[in-house]
Amino acid sequence: MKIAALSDYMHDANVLLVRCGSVGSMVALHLASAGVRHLTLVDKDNVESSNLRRHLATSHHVGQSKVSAVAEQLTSRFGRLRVSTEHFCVLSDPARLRQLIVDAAICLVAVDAEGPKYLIDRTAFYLAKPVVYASVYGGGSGVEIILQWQAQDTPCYGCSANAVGRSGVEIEPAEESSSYAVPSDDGSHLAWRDADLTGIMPAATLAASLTRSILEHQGGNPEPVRAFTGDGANMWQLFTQPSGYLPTWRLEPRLVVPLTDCPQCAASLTQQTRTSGNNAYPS
Amino acid sequence: MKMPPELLMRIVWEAAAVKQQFPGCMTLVDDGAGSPRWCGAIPVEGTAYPVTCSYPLAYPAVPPTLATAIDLPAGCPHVLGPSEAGHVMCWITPRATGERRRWDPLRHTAATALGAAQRWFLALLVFRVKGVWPVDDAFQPGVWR
Repeated sequence: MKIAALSDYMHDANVLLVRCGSVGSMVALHLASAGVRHLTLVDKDNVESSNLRRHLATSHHVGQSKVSAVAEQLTSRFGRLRVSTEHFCVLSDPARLRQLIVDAAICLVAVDAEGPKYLIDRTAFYLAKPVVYASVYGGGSGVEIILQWQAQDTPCYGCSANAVGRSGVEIEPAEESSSYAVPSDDGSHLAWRDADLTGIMPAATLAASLTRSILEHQGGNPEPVRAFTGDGANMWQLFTQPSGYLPTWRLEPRLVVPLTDCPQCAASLTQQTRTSGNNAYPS
Repeated sequence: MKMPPELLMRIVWEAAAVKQQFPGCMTLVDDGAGSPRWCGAIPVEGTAYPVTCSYPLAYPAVPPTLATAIDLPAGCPHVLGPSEAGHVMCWITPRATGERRRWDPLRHTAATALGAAQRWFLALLVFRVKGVWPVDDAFQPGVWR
């Protein structure tokens, strides 16, 4: 009986997925196959032929928006899945993004650029909505999953990014969309030309599993989230180490301590405003 | 659109930094469209230069906008165009990858931007005398710095 109730919650919850690129489209597939029945997809781009090798879209989707391509692929496989599509740039319309976060149970972010992550983080932090950030870097050799969830007292995205040596945002999106969240500028992004699904599938699996655990937590079962956050971890890094034809993987959970002067973690928000769920604008 | 509360909280938090670095210089005002902006004049070589620092709705994911109402010499570089607040100043490097040249939402505030405005006005002083902007172009096509 209890399990059925939890499943009902997961089925009904609206999962907001920002960016439907290679990682995002695979995360959507994982979530739908796990039983999530309401997805809201956000992306500003259209499908290009160069995307197809690492994407859920097929050749007949080239030129269409990524959100409609992924929605079509998912609904053709999962008959009970409801997919909403939002084809816009989140930095250009923060109000629209904010409403989508308000309406969602959880936000999953598979964005390469840093700027949108800070915008999503700012809003979700205030609204006390959990956010899972999924990225692949180094030409697929590394995976990074970050959880920001006020209910679990995690630090903000900025503190987590700072902990792994990233800082700042791009003023304009880089021309090469394959730059990804490379922690250090060692040229490893050039490996994307030859990248396969090596890092993308584990990233999607980890992000979808964590998202599912949070949905179960919201439905009343905190155990699955504890399996992730057991010792207080809010970041999980997966490294591949080439060894012949069989790569080995190493998963490292990390506990990030927020910066003492972080404008988001340490400053003005009170616990009451964080958790009250008050979404109204102040008068 | 009204400013969301999380952005207003951030601006309130930043006010301390602005007041500390530019005491008595800047005032937080309504821009007429419901958004707050810093308005005032900052000292450069003994002269106070008028400047506004406006918050975009996506702030701090994108940096604030600087503008000045002073008359600029013909051909003045590092100006992005006109706005209702005056000339929009080009003060940050697009596509920069270097840590010290990127906008960092975790560390930078409107006070950071106003500090950049001081350096911009200082460069303008040199440009007026010598006709040369004393700082390299922020962005050269094809070169990321």
